Amino acid sequence: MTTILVIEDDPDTASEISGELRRLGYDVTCVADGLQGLARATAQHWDALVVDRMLPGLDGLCLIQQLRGQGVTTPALVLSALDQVADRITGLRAGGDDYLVKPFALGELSARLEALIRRPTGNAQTVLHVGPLQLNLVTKRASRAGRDLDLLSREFQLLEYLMRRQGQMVTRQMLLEDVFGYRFELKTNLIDVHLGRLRRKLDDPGEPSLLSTVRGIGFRLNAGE
Amino acid sequence: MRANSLWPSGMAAVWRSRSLRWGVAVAAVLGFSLLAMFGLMYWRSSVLLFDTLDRSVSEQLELLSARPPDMLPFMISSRMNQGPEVVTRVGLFSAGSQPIVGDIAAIPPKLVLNGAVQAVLAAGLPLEHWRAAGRDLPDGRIIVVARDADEILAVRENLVRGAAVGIIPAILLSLGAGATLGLATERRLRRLNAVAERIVEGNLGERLPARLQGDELDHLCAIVNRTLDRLEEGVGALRGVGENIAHDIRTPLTALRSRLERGLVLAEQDEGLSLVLQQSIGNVDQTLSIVTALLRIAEIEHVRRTAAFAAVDLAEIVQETTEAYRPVAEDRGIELALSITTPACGVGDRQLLIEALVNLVDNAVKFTPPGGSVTVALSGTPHRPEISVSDNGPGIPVELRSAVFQRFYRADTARSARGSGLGLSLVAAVAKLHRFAVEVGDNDPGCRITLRCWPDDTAIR
Repeated sequence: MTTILVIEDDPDTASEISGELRRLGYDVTCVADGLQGLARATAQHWDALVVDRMLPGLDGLCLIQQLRGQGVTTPALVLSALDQVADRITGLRAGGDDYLVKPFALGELSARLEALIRRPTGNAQTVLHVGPLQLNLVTKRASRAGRDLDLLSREFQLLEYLMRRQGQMVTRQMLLEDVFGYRFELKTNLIDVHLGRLRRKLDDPGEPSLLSTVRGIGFRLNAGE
Repeated sequence: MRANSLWPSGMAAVWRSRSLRWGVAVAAVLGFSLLAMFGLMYWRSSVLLFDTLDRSVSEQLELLSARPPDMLPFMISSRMNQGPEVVTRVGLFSAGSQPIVGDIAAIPPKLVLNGAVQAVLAAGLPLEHWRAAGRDLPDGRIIVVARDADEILAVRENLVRGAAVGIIPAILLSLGAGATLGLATERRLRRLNAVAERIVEGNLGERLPARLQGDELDHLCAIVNRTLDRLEEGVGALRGVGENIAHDIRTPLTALRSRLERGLVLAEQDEGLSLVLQQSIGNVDQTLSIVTALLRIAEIEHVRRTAAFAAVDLAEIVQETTEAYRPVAEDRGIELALSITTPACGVGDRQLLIEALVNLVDNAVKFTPPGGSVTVALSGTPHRPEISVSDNGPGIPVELRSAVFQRFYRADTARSARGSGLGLSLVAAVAKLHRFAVEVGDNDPGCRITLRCWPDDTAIR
């Protein structure tokens, strides 16, 4: 079972997070103090950490820094208030960790956590395969069951991102940040329009749809059948 | 957006300056009073000197007239022998005006022989200006007394020369001092004005320079500064209230959204309920987007994060954003055109510039009817580039153009469209951080919003 350590001092937030994660089948442990959290994080193996930015005892970012200093590489998701988002926080993404601005939708939290735990696949490959889909990173060509897909460069990037996270939930915010490079919230249908076009190119009439929309949360690319 | 400078330049402006005019006025008054003083001196001293001289002439004449007639020639000739110090000349003439004795060769032609002292010209006298008096003696002879007035004239001439040497430099000096003082005050006012303009532009943190123990102007500045303190506090409190509400409302809204989502899962079998829940989620999302945008603008305005400034390529930003929005525009049946006529690199926050441009393009696409077109252009020069977004939408009336950058402002024509009404406020906040100018213009029909990038050299480049 996947184990997650939640270090969060606000009891309401902690119970909401742990409730959602348990519902999704994770093994969740909650700690309310920074120092205690650091001790628990180093005491055993965890698949991921959820760390609040502001903690009694030890600041969330310091906690992660100390963990890394001790060679612990468990991926961490930092929860931060909007006014605490500084370059230090946004820099987390570069280090393999992630951050989420409070308040957040629980779907966003679980999708981010899943992305952290399952880390993108196929990093060393030049050709990605998901079900009937094939994506050649060198020739920049994509095909479904041998049929050439005529993709624009942005559509190609979106498909690559989704294929590396096959079967995982991908949120609009993740696509905005990682594919478009927008580090700000955008409440428009920009992502939906792009994915709608991609979907029309992926699926010929009669073919099962590979790209599904998860209502209110995001998208998921399935291998089909 | 920048208001015209309150201080027009050039000579006309210098003359219009109150302080300089005061300097000139003071110099004029000083010069006038010096001239008046000198005139009085000149007049009084002339009168006095002539009086003295005339009296001595008159006395001599009386004295000589009173002598026994047969003694006169001897007295006159003995006076002449007293040497050159004697400044008075005397002449005794026969009834036929022939000289008998004395050092006056002839009776001055215009001299009236009534005993009164008169000014005469040189006839029979060696020098030009004389004061003379003459009269008929009882025995028919004529006696004339004259005295040289040239000395007095020389004194007067010296007075005038002295005045010229004294008064003209004094006037020039006071003019210069007046102008210098005036210009110094002028410069000080100009500095105050520059600060005041920045405050008007919205930099409420700026303060007027006021010396602790200064003059009336410093005192006034200190009062203005205290007023600004109060104003800033008030604005901060007001803004703080708004932001606190926005901040506090975010958490319950997010919780509400989670519950609605959970409800949506539970209501899977009930189509009617599902629809209602989905619409509710849409409403919550819209509210959340307003709250988030408000907090975002506050964040940009507060943090003044020029620390994140780095080299940015505007052409890349413009192209990237336009390409990202092309599918959105096409889906709505709108042509999205891109025009880049200049390279443009400078210093700025790439993310914020993209965010601002995304908001502009998003707005333009939203307000343009299907079949219309939106044009994103990068023009101007590499050092003064301009980014403009033009649409075929309803446009913005001239009188409302400055209002659109205020929070929550939306033209009536835009009420029906979805959105927070905060997009342009965010653009304005990003522009202000970069010291870019934002202008709303006409696209005939439609609206054109222009960002003038790095409009002055004071910007960080």
